[in-house]
Amino acid sequence: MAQRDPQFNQHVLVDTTPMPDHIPKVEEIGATSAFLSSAAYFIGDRCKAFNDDFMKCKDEANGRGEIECLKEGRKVTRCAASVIKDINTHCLDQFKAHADCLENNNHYLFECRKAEVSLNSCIFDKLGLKKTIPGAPENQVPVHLRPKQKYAQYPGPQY
Amino acid sequence: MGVPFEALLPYAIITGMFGVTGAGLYVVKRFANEGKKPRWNRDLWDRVMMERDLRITGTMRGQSSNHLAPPGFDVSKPWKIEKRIF
Amino acid sequence: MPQDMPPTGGYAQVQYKRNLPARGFKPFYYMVGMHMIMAYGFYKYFHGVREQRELAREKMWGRLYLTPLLQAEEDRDQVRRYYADKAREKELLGSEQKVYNSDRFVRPTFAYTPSKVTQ
Repeated sequence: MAQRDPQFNQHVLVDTTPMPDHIPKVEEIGATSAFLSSAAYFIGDRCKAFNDDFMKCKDEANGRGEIECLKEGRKVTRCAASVIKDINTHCLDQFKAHADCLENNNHYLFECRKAEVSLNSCIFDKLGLKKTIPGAPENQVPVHLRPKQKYAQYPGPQY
Repeated sequence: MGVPFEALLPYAIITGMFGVTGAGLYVVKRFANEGKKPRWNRDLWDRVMMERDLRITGTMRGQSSNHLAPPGFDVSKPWKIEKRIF
Repeated sequence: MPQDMPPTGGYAQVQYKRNLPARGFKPFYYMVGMHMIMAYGFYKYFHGVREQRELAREKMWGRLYLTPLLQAEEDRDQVRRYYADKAREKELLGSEQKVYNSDRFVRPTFAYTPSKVTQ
């Protein structure tokens, strides 16, 4: 994909033409950065198949993935939207608390373990989604479950 | 032999002025970031996501947990452009 | 005149050695202490690096899980603009031409912009 980033750009180009009718519509996701990074592992847990499918399609489309993988892309978006909707209906308070904490701490996950633990337990109880970090060493506690966070502003026991 | 208090006045002024600038910067940064702590050490991902937040909520630091985007979000993506040089 | 001779009993001892008391511990113990401090520092450093690595992994996987949905969003935007460009071209020129000699999807490097920028 030939692309050159604009230098000294002062204008933006906004094209408000809607999507043509022969492509099915899908609602975009309206969650913002803090909520997305808070929900990322749960999206990854429920939508792994769709995500992998989409990325595989893009990989195998030989440069035409933008047009050919729209169907997979819609599935990815619908699945992620369903996860966020479920979290909003069941665990809104913990979700908001974690996202607020992230917003106030430069989106550093290790500053917000207390909010994260309550969010994770709520989501595991209500939705059955679990946060696991792939590729982490087996013989030690995963980093998001350690009570002490060495790099947090308060490195002692977090909860 | 005590130090005359006039000798300490400049130090009081220096400390006070550092305090003024520090408090002023704190207030200005909080104001610019809508009452939140400022972001720092942002990489490309963070900057792109903040622009996406801007398109969803209208402000750089605003947050929303809706699962559906506001109407018009899907056509509001700006492309940064530059003028042709030659 | 008699020859100049040493004084009876010889000259007094010339003091060429320094006569300072040896303070503190033996140097060996200082070296041991330094190495213990350094070993403690390296111990903390290794554990810190391991934690940093895990934190980086956590951040990266969080982003990896978000990448497909953001990419899908971006792709839909690109495709929408692509079809809009094609429709505009057909309306203005009456025909569709391929600009790039390639089957791939190309994000346009040059774009037609409105003469009046309202935003």
